[in-house]
Amino acid sequence: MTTFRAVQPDLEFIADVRASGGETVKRCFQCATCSVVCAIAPDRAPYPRKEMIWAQWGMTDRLAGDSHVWLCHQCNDCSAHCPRGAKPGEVMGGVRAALIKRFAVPRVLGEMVHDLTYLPIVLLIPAVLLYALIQQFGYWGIPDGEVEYAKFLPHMALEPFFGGMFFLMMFSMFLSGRRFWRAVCAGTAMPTGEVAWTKATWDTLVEVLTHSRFKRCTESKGRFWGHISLFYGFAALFFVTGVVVIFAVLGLYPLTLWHPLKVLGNVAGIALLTGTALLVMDRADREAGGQHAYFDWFFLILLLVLGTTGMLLVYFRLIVETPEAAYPTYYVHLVAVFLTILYLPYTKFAHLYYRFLAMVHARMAGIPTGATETAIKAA
Amino acid sequence: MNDVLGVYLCSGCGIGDAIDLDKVEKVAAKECKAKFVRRDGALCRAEAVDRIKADVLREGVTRIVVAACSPRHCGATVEIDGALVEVASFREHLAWSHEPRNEDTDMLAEDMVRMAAVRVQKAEPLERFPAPEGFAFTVLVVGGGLAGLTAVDALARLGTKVVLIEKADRLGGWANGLAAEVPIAAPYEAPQASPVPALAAAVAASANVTVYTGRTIASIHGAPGLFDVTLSGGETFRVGAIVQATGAVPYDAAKLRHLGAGNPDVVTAADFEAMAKVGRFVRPSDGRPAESIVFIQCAGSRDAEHLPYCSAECCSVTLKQARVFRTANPAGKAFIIYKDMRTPGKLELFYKAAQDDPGVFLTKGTIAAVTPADGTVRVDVTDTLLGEPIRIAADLVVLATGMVPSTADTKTAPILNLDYRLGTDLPDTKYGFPDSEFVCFPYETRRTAIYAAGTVRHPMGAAEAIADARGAALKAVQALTLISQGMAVHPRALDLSYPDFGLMRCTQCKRCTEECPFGALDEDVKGTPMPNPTRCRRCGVCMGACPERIVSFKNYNVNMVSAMIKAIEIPEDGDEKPRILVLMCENDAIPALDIAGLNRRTFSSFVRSIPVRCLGSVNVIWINDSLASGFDGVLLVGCKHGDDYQCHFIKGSELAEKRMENVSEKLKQLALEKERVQIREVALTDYDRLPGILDGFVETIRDLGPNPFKGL
Repeated sequence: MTTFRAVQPDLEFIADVRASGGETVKRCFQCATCSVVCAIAPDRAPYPRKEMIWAQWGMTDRLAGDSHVWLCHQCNDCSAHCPRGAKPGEVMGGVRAALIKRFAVPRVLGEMVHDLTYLPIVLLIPAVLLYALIQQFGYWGIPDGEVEYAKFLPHMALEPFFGGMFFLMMFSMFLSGRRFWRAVCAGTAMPTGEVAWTKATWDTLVEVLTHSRFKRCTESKGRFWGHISLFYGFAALFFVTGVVVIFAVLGLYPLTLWHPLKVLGNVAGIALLTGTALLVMDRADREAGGQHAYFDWFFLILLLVLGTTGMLLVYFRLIVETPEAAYPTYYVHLVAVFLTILYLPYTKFAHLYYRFLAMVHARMAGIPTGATETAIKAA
Repeated sequence: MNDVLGVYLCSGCGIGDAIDLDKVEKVAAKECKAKFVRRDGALCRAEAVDRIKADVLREGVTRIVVAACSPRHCGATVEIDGALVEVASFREHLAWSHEPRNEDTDMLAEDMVRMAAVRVQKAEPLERFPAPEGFAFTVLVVGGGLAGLTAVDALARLGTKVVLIEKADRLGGWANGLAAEVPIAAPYEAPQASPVPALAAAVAASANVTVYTGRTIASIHGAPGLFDVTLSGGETFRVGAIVQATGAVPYDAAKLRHLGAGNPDVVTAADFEAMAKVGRFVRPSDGRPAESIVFIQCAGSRDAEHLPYCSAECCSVTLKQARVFRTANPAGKAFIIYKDMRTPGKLELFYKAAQDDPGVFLTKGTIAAVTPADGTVRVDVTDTLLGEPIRIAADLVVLATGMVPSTADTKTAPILNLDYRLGTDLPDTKYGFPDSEFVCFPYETRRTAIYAAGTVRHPMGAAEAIADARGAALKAVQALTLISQGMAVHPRALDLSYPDFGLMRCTQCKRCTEECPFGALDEDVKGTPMPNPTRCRRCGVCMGACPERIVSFKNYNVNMVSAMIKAIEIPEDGDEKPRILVLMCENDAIPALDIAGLNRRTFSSFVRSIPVRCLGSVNVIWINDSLASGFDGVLLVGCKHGDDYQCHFIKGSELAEKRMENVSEKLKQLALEKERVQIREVALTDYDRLPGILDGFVETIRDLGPNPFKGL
């Protein structure tokens, strides 16, 4: 007895995919060149051929439960070889964007970040919250004396606020991540039980740190270097910020320009900016003549603002010592930090945990991590 | 006869090095009685040609043999005013394809000159066939749809008088029912307005065109240039050529029960087009608007139970209908289930553009069931590209039905009503389409000066039908131009020769009248052939058929070839020097041999080849003559016949094959092995294989041993 899947295309999903880089999705005619040329798709049921037609048909459930969507690193080897100009790599990015919106908790935030018309609200939320916080606990103006950002917003207010928000974000991430995990287990494969979650997580972590899968992309080396630079820049800054918070609590703050932590932070800042610039160039290049993917640009510009304001803070405080420029920059920087960290589950940043979970899932469910892996090992 | 023969030998291109031309000169002078035998280092030079011309003018040479390169590759000496020319292809068929400086090669050279000399001496100057009285240059176009109107428009603009007949009351045909046309012009991305209304207006306004609507053809008597047409309304007139553009009809959807036929909400593409034309997409059962529509491709097409062929246009039509529907209803969904999307030519761009519509969903698939369910039509599809069987709840299902030619049933419902002995209409090739062999003879049909155009010829879309109609219009003009000057049309276009019938000796056996592939020969009550010279294509099938050998062309006849055969020297020693006669079709086999020679492919020097117009023109007497004069074997090389025939005269090679059965009988009576006479099929592209075929046959004959009648 054949079981037939009732099909009811989700037109809104198709529109989302098309608006987020996948405007060419409908052009695919299923020749499967993409799946053949992909260096990282598994041998069995390789992506992105099947994802292309699911996306064309607006089969949201199918895609939500498909871990392969996240195993794709958007190398775009497939897009380069697509005879129809359907750009499967870009479409997969569009599918991920559309799925981030659907998994988001609360969903309304996912929708807002996805849509340019809500940009003012998206920006106003952190702007207003931070304004209220400074009004309440700090000094809304240009404090006298040498530049010391704690005068503008004291640590005793800043850390609990961001800490609390961070906790809320983690909770949202947990809920959406759990939703994703369940969907993938039901839609792609159940974990076989042969690989422990600890080992799968450890191996995935190693893979992420080495970018070993990303390295196999041949079409977009620029993206690889951009991403790894951004990745380590961001990670180092995250670490430095965490340590500095402890220093501040211990009263060892502010640090001099040549303090090792400060040096690390500055180097990391440059790495982040360089990486982001590379990714911006890459995206501009890929979008040449096509539609712009707002979802991607939102995050890229956010990172640029974050990196630039971060570097300017140092410049205005220690080099030119200009309070009139330093404090407004600090305010903008705080807004950018809020948007980056606390909007994580709703922006492109969300791929951080969806992709991580998908890679852990792939290991636990016995999905090979790449068609050419054996070949690479043999070589 | 005071014919003066001149033999001109070329020693260029290595001919002089490979062949002992002194011996050839001797044969030409002594045996062939040539008054002049001249040799030149390059006969194709203007000076050399001028010398031949001077011999004609001053020395009275009337018959010329040129032994040089094949006339297909060098035309310098093919035509000399005032004399008949025969070319022996010394370069391709001799010097470049046989061992140089060899006794057998030299013997072949001598025989080639003997044959050419006989041929040219037996030929008579051609006389233009007198143009028949009352020759009409008007073209009749049957069918006033897109193809018909395009043909009329093209003809009228060329200044040709045209009579257009349309059986409906107004012009336009299928296009009258269209909401929009599949794109026929760049950028080929969106449906466009049909060109038919503008064409119909132009045609109606043209002074060159007479239009009859609401008429069919009661009868057509006569032949090209002389067709007397009577319409159903009693009108009579004469035309010279005919273009049939009677189109196709949709396949009967009622037979497609497995695709849901019978359910009121399962409609045909034609029904849907009617909805699109008024812009109301509703379910016939309850009048509710259709939001979700499934299009089923190849409905009855590419299906052994129904139409085994692809109907070519349905994919594009469905894409067009989906686009029209989606434009009217941006929230609507159009599902297309196909076997393969086939959008030929530039229509691929249309496919691409239609795909880009977010509300169009395409997948390959097999329809498992179409059943009514809860006020919808449930379409179950297996073998999909989605990786699993799917079920679509549709408001409406559209069956993309294929094309059946309007000529499918001419036995009971004739269209042209010709009074040809071969039937009232154009003969069909496959599935009822009067198509032509598409590689070798596009636009041709098997009735001289009658051409088919558009979907009646084979399934096609609008753009192709327009091109097809223009092609047919040009063919009609070309045919009338040539025929009115007494010339043959395809494939012997420009040929001035025509068959003479020595009716005094006719025994009324009817073989010629029955075998003529073009119905050129009617019969009187006794069975004597009554030629319609303007239908004739000069293939010589009648000449091959006639047991009394009364059919002849001035430059090609039974006696001539018999004399050529007899002119060949047969050595006594059949073991050492066998002789094989090869009768080769001029259309593919001889050019293939030329190419083999150009490629320096060698073959046996025991072969003596004679070009024939068609294997159908081979008279059995030639085989008798050759065996009687001591040939050890005879091979006939002609075109492929059967379903995908390549015979330029349709059934010439097939007739030859049939006549071979009688030859086998004859051989048996003579106690000769039947393997001594065989037939082979080659195409032009077989040039690489041809030397092997010839050598293989020579081997077969050597195994059989010499012809026991040799030297008797």
